[in-house]
Amino acid sequence: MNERLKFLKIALYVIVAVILVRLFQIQIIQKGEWVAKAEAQHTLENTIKAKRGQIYMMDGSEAVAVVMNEQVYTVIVDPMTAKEEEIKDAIFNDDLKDNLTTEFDKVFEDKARRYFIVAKNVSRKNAKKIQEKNPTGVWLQERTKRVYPEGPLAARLLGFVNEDGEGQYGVEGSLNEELSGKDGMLKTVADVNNVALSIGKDNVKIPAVDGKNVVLTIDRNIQAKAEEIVKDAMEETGKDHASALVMNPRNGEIMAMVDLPGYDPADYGNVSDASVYVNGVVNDPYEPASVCKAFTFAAGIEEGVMSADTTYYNQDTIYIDGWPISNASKNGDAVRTMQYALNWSLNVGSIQVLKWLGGDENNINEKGRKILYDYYVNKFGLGRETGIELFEAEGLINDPVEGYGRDSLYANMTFGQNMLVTMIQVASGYSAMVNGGEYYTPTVVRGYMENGKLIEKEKAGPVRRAISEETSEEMREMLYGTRDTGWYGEDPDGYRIGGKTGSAQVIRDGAYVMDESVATYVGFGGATGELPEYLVMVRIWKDGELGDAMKEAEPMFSEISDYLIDYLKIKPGD
Amino acid sequence: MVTYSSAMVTRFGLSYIHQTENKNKKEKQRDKIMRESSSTWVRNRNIVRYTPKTLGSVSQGVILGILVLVVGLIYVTQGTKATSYDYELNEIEDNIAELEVRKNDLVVEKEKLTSVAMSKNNEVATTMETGTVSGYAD
Repeated sequence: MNERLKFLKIALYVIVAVILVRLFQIQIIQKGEWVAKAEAQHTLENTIKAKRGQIYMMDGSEAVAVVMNEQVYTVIVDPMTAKEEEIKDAIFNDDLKDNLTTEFDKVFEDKARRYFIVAKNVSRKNAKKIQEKNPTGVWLQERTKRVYPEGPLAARLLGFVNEDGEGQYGVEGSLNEELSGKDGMLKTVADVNNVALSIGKDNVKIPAVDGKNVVLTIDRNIQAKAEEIVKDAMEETGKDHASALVMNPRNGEIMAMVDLPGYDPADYGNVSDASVYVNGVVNDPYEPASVCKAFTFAAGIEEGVMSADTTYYNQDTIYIDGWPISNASKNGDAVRTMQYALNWSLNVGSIQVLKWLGGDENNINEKGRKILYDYYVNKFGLGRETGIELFEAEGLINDPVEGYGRDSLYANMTFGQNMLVTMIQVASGYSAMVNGGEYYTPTVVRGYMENGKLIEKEKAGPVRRAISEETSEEMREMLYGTRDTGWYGEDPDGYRIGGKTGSAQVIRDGAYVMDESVATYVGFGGATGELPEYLVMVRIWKDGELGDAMKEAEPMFSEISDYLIDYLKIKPGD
Repeated sequence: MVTYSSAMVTRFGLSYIHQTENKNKKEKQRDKIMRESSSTWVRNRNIVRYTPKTLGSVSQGVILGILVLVVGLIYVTQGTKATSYDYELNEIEDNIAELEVRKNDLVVEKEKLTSVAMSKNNEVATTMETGTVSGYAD
């Protein structure tokens, strides 16, 4: 009996010792691991997703949403547990026919596959129908999708949001941080159904900061009309690329930005050429050609070396650094005024201005090149980023001193060749040229939508004076005169419309080719006696084809200009 | 207690009463001494161990258990009360989220219906006459 008791006693000691050792191991040595396991079981830790901001355009004075969010669902099937009849009834029906990503027969081909996406972008209404039928082996994955009530309107300007929720290209890309907001966090004790409970002392809730609703300066009606006009022009001329930019020269606000061909941002993956994502208006530097003559002439007037009536001896061909430079339109050797040179777009006339800028009647020199560079880059903002709220290319304006053949290079630059600039740079520079001489940073952001109200951002004033008011006035008159030569027909009474063409040669394999050119037109208009109310720049081209600025670009401008006079309700002047 | 009637007091006189009372007291005192002394006369009674009247360990355990149970019940009651609000809050939040999604769906539909393309292609717009161009000659 005593032996048995002794044995029992020892056995009890051993058991207690084992328990104590195990408790020590769990509670002291492995404490962290077990605490983490316990917390994982009863702690709900979620990221509170910030809502991506919407994008608005103007419709007159009212802001309207053009990029919105929609909750959609992805339908996933587990072929191993799913029942064919249930799947057919709940998913493969007419309601979901546009969302299906596969055929019914393929779902059950490989039952070992436990995850099969059968439908995407299913609306909430249809997802609810599936939920009500509750088919076995089916689950719905919720996500937010961008929707575009205006369809492909301004696609290249707006950009898109990829599958990871990141903005790409356009406004979506450049303002991604503002639109994204900041995710929040929820860490709390939860029950078995993952319902957050307020008990527990370590609960954390950091609310998400939703993205800003950005209101663009773009007017959707002007944008739609400009797109329609550009599209028609492409069809009529057979050209496959065209762009248009409409801006308010008085404050730099962009009213429309068109670059075609576009794409459907709701189906952004369905493109054959990724270059359609790039907004060429701000991201495609090119040689703008003769539209740049106006910048050269403005520099000449501002520097006091010329006026519209100043004369020079025009020759149809001159030689710079041994290279021949000719006028596109032959006028014979004769004395011409600078107004005439601008009207007929005489290259030799603009080269003469460069000579005068250097203080030499007959030769181009460093002084002249430096002055022209200063006007192009520092005053009119060519060849440098404008500061618009979009990804933009810088372009290239060659150094006036360093490098070989500066004289011929700068001679070509006086009429917009041998340099690379974007449309936004040219249009912003032209705005400064005709608005009284002040340069405004172009902008596409008007403000933000908060609680259904448009909160306008503070208006930025002019960033610098490019030229004097007097020079600006003289340039306006010269450009009105250029348009009034009769090439473009008559403008409506009570309005003054000015503008300049540009037919740019393009470089292929390091050399200018003779069978391809880009047609450009920059113009502006408003009531007679008033500063211009709009400025429009258009360009159109096709690889391997010659362009004609007067026949292809100018009509686009005229049509947009005509529409703007009506749409903006500009009263005729005296 | 001895009681006397007034007749007895008259017959035997007051002294008798006193004697009787004294005798009773003495008897009682003797009885008491005898009673107490008789208990000490038991063998070895003088070395018996003194045992205080206290609760046993089992009783203490039971009482402690009951106390823990009561405190636990109070805690659980309070916790459940707080949690029931959480469930209610959760339900309301779910409803709000659902309504927000429905509202958003309607706003999207409205914007689609009032889009420029839709307005341009609707029946009224397509039957309108084209305006006269105010401007340019050929």
